[in-house]
Amino acid sequence: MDVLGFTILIPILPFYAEHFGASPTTIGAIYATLAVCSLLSSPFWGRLSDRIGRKGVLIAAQVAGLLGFSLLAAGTALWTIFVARGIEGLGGGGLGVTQAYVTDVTRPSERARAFGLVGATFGFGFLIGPALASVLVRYGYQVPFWVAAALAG
Amino acid sequence: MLLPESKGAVKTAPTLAEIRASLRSPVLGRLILTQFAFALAFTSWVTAFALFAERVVGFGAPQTANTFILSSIVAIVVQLWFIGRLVDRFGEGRIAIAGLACAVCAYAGVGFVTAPLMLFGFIVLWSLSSALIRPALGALVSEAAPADQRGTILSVNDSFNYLAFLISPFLSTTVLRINPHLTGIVPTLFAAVALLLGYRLFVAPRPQPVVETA
Repeated sequence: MDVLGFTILIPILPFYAEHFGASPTTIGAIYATLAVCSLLSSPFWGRLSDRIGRKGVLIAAQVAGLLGFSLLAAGTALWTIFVARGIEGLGGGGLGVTQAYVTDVTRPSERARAFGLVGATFGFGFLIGPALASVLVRYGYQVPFWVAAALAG
Repeated sequence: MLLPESKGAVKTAPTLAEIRASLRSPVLGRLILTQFAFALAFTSWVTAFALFAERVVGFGAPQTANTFILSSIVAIVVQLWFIGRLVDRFGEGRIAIAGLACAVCAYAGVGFVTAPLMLFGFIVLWSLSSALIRPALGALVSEAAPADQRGTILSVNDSFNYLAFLISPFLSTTVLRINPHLTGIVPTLFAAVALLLGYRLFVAPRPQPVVETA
């Protein structure tokens, strides 16, 4: 679901931001907002998952995705895009913890195959997300984001 | 199969000093650095792609979406059916090198794109490269991480991916504004660095200790 939300965003976000008057540099800053928040929060979530287990941390990441996508869809100005991406980023313990989970339950000789399956999941996300986005965007820029929020929830 | 949740909480979590020591170990540190260079290449391409395709071949949102669909099909096929067999035969290191070599070619070729069909060709090569690199490097990092620090270390590795997302969009969009046809330069340089790092880690012969004779 995390990947699906991300892939719905990719083809639309630059145009959505341009709709609010964003320049290419501002679009870069929007991507960077998620990165800064995730950069800071990810090691915290990873360490927490070493202490309390992976499940709770993965659920927290989904909740952050739900909130972020909802705000993105409801946004009426450029700053709401920045805030939405920030919320999603602060809950961004998803991938590292998912990989740790996969590593926990596989033997070393199976790891590359297992990581391949995780990668294929990403591939399905990239397959379904943009396709969904290209259909949904015809009904307005906000619609794909509401769908992404529903999937995260 | 015993799920991690069944194990209960770890009683003594690793200290920050232990985690720091793990990250400074030669193999793990270099693996994360290689992954970081690859992530810089990947993110600088992905974040600039929609605007690049719009300016160079006139794509809108639907066409951009279709391009990602094509790349996803390639990635799924490779990662579902081929990566396991390839790694069994050649090992993770060599597969990562092959993927990085494909990535350099794909990013370098983008500069010569003048028509959608050419773009699709390079997108297929780019997808193939990512499908080879991610599982191979991911498996190597996870194997190098101590069991009680996996969550932390894989998340730190993930953080480097986010750091790449922080750095590379500014670089690629700046180049895009100067000349859209030069957009591929940034990911090409980063992929070349990753290839060099990977080559030194996986392929280049390591110096043997000198045996002193009396």
